[in-house]
Amino acid sequence: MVAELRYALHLLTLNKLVLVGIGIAVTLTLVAMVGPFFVPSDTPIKLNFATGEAAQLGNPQISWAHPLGVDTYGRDMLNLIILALGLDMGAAGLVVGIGLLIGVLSGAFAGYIGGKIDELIMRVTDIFLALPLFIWAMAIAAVLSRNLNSLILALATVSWPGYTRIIRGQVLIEKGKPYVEGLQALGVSRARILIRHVIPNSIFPLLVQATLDIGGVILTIAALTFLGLALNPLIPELGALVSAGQTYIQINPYLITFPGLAIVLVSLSFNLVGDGLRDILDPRLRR
Amino acid sequence: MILGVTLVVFFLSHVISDPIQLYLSPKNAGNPAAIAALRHAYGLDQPLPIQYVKYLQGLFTGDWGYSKLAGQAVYPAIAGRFPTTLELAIAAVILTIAIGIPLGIVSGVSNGKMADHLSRIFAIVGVSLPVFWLGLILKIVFFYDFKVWGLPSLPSGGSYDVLLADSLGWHPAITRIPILDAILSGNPTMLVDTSAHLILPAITLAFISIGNITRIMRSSMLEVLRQDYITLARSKGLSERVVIYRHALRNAMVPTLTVSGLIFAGLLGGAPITEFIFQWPGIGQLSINGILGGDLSLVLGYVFVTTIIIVVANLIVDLLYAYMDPRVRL
Repeated sequence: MVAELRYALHLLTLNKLVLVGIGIAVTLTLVAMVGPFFVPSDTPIKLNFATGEAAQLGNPQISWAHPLGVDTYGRDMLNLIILALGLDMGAAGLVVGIGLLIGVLSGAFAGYIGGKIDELIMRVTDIFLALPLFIWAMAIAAVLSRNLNSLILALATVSWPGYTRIIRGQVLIEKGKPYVEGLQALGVSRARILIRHVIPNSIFPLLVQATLDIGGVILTIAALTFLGLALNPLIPELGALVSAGQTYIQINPYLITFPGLAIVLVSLSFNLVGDGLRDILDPRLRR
Repeated sequence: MILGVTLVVFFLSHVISDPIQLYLSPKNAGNPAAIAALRHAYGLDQPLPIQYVKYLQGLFTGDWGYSKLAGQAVYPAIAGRFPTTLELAIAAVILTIAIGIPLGIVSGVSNGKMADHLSRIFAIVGVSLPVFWLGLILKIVFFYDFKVWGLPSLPSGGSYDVLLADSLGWHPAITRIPILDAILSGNPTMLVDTSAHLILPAITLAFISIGNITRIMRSSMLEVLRQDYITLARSKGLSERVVIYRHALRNAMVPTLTVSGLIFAGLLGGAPITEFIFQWPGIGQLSINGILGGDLSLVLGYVFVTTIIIVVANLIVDLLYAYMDPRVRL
């Protein structure tokens, strides 16, 4: 297991792009987690209408005090982006995390037990996978109340079927392997086999997909908040920042470029990492 | 499958929030008797399963409910806007295939070299961009900045210039697809206008799909080039060009084409955000207005249409795949 990991890490380092991706992702995560401690906590509510107006009228207010300028309410853009990063990445992490949890449980269960339960779970999965994530999210967000928690819940609800499918496939493969039969012959309970042996061996493709999904979920969250589906406008959130700056793009494009770049960076880095992981997964590169 | 989706959507719409809200006008809102009467009129006081059956019946007969927002029944509202979305989807798919496939081929063939790396970077960046941001940036550059720099600028909204059309006494009436109608009615000014309006949204939409197609084309090219029959072709003395175009490409195209079909289906869903940003009067924009305005029947109708499109597309893609790859038996 350790030798395999080491080999995998070696493969990872071969691809420079992936390293860049990992670097950016780690940096952003650190910024998201640690940054808020350096940002005055009243930033979201400390509105400064004078500078805000100036920003709206075309003066981006870039200076040492405001390295990335100022938003429409006069708050410092850099601080806002740091806070928003935390919010968005946290939300994406929750969505993927919850999705993974439900997905792994249902998929492993379905794959291992088989039979009618498997069929049933697969039917449900098919229904959810029929539509693209965004459309589902729109439909659910339309009926639920407009706040971040319902958004997270909505997205998690539609993302777990993807994981179910993946892990079910992996579990089916593992089930056929001799060690499972051996364990069963030893009298190990099915639950224990599932949890301690089959799932850990099946989980890697899932992690790859999850990493890629974090990038995708961030884009979806940004898109939904951009449309105005989730929050009250003072909460710093990347999509909302872009939305707020939309009206002024002709005179002050910086209002949308910086939050947008932040979104691109996050999604790009996770996509790069996920891509790299997927390359490692390539069976041709394994023993 | 479709049934399942309608079930979930119906469940959501009726159980989570009371649909009577749709039909309440302000004067009735405080009046319990009126509310009860309305409920009865719309069959909302019947048990849920019966409501569901009625809903399904309605779907099949074209009665998709009434949209308060659009001021008309849902089905004509959606059907009316569909051709415009069709125009955008076709344009975007053409762009995607025209750019994505060659890029993927180049990338796969020159594996590991600079061209490959550049294509991969382009593809991955394309996939990581938020659609709305890309649209806005394109608007900034091609619409506002071009004006400032004195270049002819591309328009920023709508599918054609309505004022111009009115002055020429023209409007899309034949196929209701703006650019086709311009061609069919032989009106060159409108042709230029509709094309100009089409460019930016199509590029925005296509950018992300190009990323996807390039990656898929690349990986299937790599897969194919590894095969034994390619080595055979080379050892026969065939030029590299013939090997690639006549042998490798045919097999590598298969997964790519199937994915293109799915992308097209997805685009037919209207790419709501792009339509929103460019005020493109298609079904995507309609659905967004519906969501923002809380118009549930509109959203339901949209979800239904999208589901059908995607399911049908999947079916066609599966059939095509079976046709193209003799090893696949349905």
